[in-house]
Amino acid sequence: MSGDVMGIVFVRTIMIYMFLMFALRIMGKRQLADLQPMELVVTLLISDLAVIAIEDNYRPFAYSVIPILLLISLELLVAHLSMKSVRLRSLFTGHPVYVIKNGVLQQNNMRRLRFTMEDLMEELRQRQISSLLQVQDAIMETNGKLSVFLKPQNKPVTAADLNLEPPPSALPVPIILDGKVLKENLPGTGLDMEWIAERLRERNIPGVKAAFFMTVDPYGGVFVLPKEGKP
Amino acid sequence: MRGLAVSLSVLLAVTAGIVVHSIVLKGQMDDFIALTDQAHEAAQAGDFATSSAKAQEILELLSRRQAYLCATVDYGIIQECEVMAERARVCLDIESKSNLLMDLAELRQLFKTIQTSENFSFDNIF
Repeated sequence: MSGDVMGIVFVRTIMIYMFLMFALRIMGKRQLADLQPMELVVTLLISDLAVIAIEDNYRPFAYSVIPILLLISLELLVAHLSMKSVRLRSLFTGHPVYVIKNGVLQQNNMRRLRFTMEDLMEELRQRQISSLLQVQDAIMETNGKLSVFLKPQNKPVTAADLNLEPPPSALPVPIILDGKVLKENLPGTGLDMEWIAERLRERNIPGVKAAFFMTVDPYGGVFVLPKEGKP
Repeated sequence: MRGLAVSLSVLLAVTAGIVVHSIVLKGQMDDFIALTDQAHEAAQAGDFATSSAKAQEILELLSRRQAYLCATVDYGIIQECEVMAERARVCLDIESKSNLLMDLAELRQLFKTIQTSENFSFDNIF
């Protein structure tokens, strides 16, 4: 490979990286595992087209960019139409199917889904469910995941079952991360740098730079992790 | 609505880009074909100095338009055109006349191929 070609590959890779970042940003934030089948196919197609643009220097860049742009716009268009119309949503993404309904196995649905008993038992085992008898409903979602609902007698006890009223839970707010104060998190907490320094001093931590992680919860609970010295 | 607007804008922009590109490329290839025809006529008349000068013009034009052509047309075919034009440029010998005419005819065909390959046709789709 000559230097020129390496240079072209270098620049093309950077361009494709930037372009894909922009393209996937437009597509929206969805975990790979949560993708609908069509979204997964589009993602795979885009990755394939991007590889061609990087590998094949003789092929114009536009030949990869145009299909990627088209796939993303069609995906957005379908997503928009699906949001507007229930009928179209059902057409594009299908609908959830009962595998177990009211404790009864839906064999016809399983046959249609090509979902075997082994698959079902595996899914249940992964959820620490040992017997079909424990399951009230199991639904195959449109993204291929199985939602399982236990019979009332097999559900774990909750605070509501015991008529208890636990205090509302609140998320601790990170204040220091790797020796730096996260100033954007301070306004909502009513804390200032002096208060932080005081809490650090109480824990024999000389300053912000010596703290690795610090959180404060709305009830005043403070958690601090000092920074470890380099080995 | 934002998704729809983005999607339709991208679709429109891509379609407009393709239409503009096909018009621009047709015009550019017409220039190349005209120069090739002039070189061909000169070579047929035995005026190798003119045919070489025209081939030189083709090379210069290819070089000036390289960025656009490489971004939109298969680079392999552009390289073939450059090779053909270079062979026509260095051919100043009466004994190579038939080869020169063949090269120029082939070069014209290559420019024509680039021009027509960008034409939208259902035959090309399937």
